[in-house]
Amino acid sequence: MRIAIAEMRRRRGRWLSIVGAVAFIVFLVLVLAALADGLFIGTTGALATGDSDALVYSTDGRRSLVRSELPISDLPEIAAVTGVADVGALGVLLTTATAATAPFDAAVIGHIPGRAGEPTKLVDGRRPEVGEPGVVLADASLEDEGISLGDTLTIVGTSQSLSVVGFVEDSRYLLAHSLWVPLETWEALRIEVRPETARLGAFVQAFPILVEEGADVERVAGEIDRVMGATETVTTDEAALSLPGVEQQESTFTAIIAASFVVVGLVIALFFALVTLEKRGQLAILKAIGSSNVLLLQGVLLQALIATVAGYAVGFLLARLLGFILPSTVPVAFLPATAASLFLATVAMGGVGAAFSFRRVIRIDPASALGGEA
Amino acid sequence: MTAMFVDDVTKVYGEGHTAVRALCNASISLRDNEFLALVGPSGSGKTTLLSVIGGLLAPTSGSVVIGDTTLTHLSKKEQTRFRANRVGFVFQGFNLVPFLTARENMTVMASISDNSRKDIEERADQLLGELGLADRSDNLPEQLSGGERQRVAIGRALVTDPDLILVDEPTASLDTELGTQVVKLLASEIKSRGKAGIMVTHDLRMVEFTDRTVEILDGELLTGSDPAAGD
Repeated sequence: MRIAIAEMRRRRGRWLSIVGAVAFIVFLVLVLAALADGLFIGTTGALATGDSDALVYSTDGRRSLVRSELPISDLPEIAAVTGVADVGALGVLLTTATAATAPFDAAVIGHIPGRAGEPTKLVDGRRPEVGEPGVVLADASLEDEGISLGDTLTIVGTSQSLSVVGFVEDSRYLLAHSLWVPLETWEALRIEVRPETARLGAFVQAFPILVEEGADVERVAGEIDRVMGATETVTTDEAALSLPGVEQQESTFTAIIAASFVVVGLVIALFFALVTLEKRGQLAILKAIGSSNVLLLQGVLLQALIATVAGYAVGFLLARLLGFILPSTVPVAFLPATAASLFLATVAMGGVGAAFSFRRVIRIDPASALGGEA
Repeated sequence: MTAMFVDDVTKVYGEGHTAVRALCNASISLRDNEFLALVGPSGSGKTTLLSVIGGLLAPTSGSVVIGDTTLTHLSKKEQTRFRANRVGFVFQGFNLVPFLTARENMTVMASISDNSRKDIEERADQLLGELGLADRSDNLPEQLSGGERQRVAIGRALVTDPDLILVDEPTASLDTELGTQVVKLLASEIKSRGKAGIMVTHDLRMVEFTDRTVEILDGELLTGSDPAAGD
């Protein structure tokens, strides 16, 4: 171990090059992961961070909040299903809103305050009361657009003004800024923006549900669909992944990140293969004087660990710095859980890469140290 | 007392008509406090014999006993441990770890052998003084002269207080004057500690500093002289 550390300390240039290579790949991976997480949250936040275990859609809605339509009168029947602890309601209106600032894309989301499905991450102000008119809980991303508590928003094509009473985080829908309003407000806005829906009566687009403690979500979902007949109930995670393009977007980023990790492993493997080749003589001497293979392999692993941890630290800092200078329009989210899992993956790939040189180290013949071969 | 005994060792490389007999029924013994020179032309088998004695190469037949241990009966793992604790090596061309200082090249044995770090460090400091390297202890090998590097290598071989010192062409990278100094120092260190040592060399000028010379030719040991015994 001491030999391995002394080598890294006294041959800094060489080791800095491998740390730099790992840092560069980690930087790319972290930025990609932050973009993936940012896009995922920006697209699915309204559902994923909502207070629900599952969502009930109409069967013909095919898991789409926009296509699904269910009469509000279904709510008590769903609430009565065994295992259901609470039922809320969700309706979405994709439109344009204005404030003193420029118009922006908005997803006006009708919900029942205090019931299942409401956004959980309140960061400023308060939530609307049930049926409270003229108020809106806005996504915190609007603060970057210059909107503050008490500002008045107008939904284009309507006569209604909405006063911002609070901000919630990570609650956007399909990358549009979400505006959470009581269900009654949403219905009025919907009829003004889409008058053709007036004849449909009081409907919502999904019922978010919470299940009782200890109840199996899948089982409760199946029971709801059996009782209701024309519904499709899916877990909140499934609902998020069912949004248009989300699954493809996730799998694309996952593939790129996985490929980058293979590159980390290859870079480490190649580096240690070259170093081992160069140190052949020195390793033969160490073996001849009594170094065990285990001791030498521990040194290789330790060096790979230090190189990958240091590379990760540098890459992480660079990625975070980039995060600070990126404009708010770029959807990036640096999540601790993602950073932790990528750290473990980086270290694991470093270990796997280093392990490729194990056979080479083990096969070095200590007898080659004699006769001037080393 | 017999420090080392090689009994009827044969080493054959390859098989069938491509077989090469590197050692033929070699037998040799070495007493404590004895420094032996093994001489012979290139390809005579002297390095092969040294490798077999050091447990670096398994003989085709025969046995090697060092002290009370039959080396050839040990597993590879046990032989590695035996080398770390009971055998000291001085290699041709210095062969120090280039990124370790003179002192660290000696104390590296604390990680390799069963000796305590404290013992190794104390012995390393003592050896650095004896070998005239006290003021060079923090220098890397590239900052040392050829003679100094070989003295560090001698220190590394002695720092574990081994029973047997095996030396491979110690003067190969040195001029005559330096080579002579190094071999004299080596002989003095081995003798002063009452150890047994074998030096492989093709430089016949160096044999005068040893107790006995054994010649090897085509894998066969020839009768040697024993200057100490007045042969």
